[in-house]
Amino acid sequence: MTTVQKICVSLNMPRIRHIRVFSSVSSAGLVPKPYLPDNLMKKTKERIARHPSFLADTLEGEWSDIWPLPNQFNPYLVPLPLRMGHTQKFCVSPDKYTSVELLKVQNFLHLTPPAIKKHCAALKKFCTPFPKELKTQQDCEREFPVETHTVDYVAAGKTPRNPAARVVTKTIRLSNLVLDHHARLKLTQLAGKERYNRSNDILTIKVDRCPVKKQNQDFADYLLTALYFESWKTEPWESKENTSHSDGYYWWEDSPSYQNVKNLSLSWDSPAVEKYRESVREIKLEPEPEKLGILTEERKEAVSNYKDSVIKLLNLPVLA
Amino acid sequence: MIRNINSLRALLPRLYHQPVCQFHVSPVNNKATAGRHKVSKMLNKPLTYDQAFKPNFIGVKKGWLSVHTGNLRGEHGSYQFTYEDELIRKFCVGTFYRMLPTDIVIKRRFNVIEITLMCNTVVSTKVFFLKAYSERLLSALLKCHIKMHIFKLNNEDAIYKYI
Repeated sequence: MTTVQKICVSLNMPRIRHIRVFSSVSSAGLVPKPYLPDNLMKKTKERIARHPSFLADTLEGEWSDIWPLPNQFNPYLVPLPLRMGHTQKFCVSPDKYTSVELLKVQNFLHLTPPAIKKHCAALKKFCTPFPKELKTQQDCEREFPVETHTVDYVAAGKTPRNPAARVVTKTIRLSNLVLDHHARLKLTQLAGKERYNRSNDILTIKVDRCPVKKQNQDFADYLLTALYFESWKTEPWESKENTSHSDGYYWWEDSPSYQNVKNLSLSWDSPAVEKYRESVREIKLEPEPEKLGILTEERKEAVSNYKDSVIKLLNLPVLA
Repeated sequence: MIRNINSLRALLPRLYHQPVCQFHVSPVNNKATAGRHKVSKMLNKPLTYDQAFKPNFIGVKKGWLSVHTGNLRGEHGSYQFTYEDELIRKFCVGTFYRMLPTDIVIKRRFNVIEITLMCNTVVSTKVFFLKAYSERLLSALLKCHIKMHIFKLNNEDAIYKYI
């Protein structure tokens, strides 16, 4: 008891009376009782928290000078009265000098708002303002139609290399390219279904075959230019006689059904013409049936669609 | 008469007098025993905060002692880091023999390993020498930069509860 009082005096702490604390180091035979009765525990906790070393009354200099970089938690530098840990019955959660939990946890004491402001102020002289002309997404796309997507990976370890970082993806909306009808069709055919998205008209090229990111970027650029210029060329084998319906080529504009509709003198925007066009294309582009002579569901649907579209086109009354 | 199925083997014909060895197996008790401490008779067995909670409280009431990116999805090096952590722990317990009341915290940031210890020695020359020695040796072994942080902690202060 006397030793406890003496220590209190030297540390300038208010005297703690009526405490029976035995440590495990004490004489053998005594059952150690590190716990305090409930009412005393609360008082002592408050008293300890009021100790000057726990309070941040006077801070010498700025906090960002004391803690500039990500650092291990140092209880002698941080002036806060912290306790970390779950409390069980009669157990005190360890304070900042004895807690291992505080050391395990990541602390962001180097990222206080004043420190971040200081950082930004220092970096500001290296920055230029965002151009005022680029207000909307459409403006950005008009000026920079090709989007490059790359990922850099950061992880703990001896090497900063990551084999997944070499992947480069370039996207472009085909409406930004100068393409006529044949060129557009040829480009989409050359690119393939996986690379061209019909719903939003975006061509995606993903390259990962080279070991270095720069090489992959150059290869993607090469692919884009090659696709564009190849689609404008017309090879001799690309003439209309050589193309078959199985390739997906069917120009309704050249067919006799087009001539018939022309003679009807209808407006081209009407939905009836559109529907007729679709149904004719469906029938002409039908795949080869597996078994001849059997009316499959798809064929039945195609034929009935054709019938409906013709009736609508010619404004005929529907039979009951 | 056949008394139990184990002796059925004895009835098989033994060719060329081959010996048959058998052993007795008691039923398996699938019991988790990791991180659990037996309650002492006098209730005087001290436990630190880490020891006081069972392993199912990791992430809930306890933190992780080693922090690295190897166990995240799509990241490499989980086995390498775990192996290195084991080496670091054994090394530190050996160099700071009987001076560490709690476990060692290992954090990795890029190619730097930060090791945090709680040491109960008062002799500062001893501690500084051991710190420099372990930093040098571990960085040579693991080919990384090593930073050690050592804090003073008495054995009594590390105790959380008695069991």
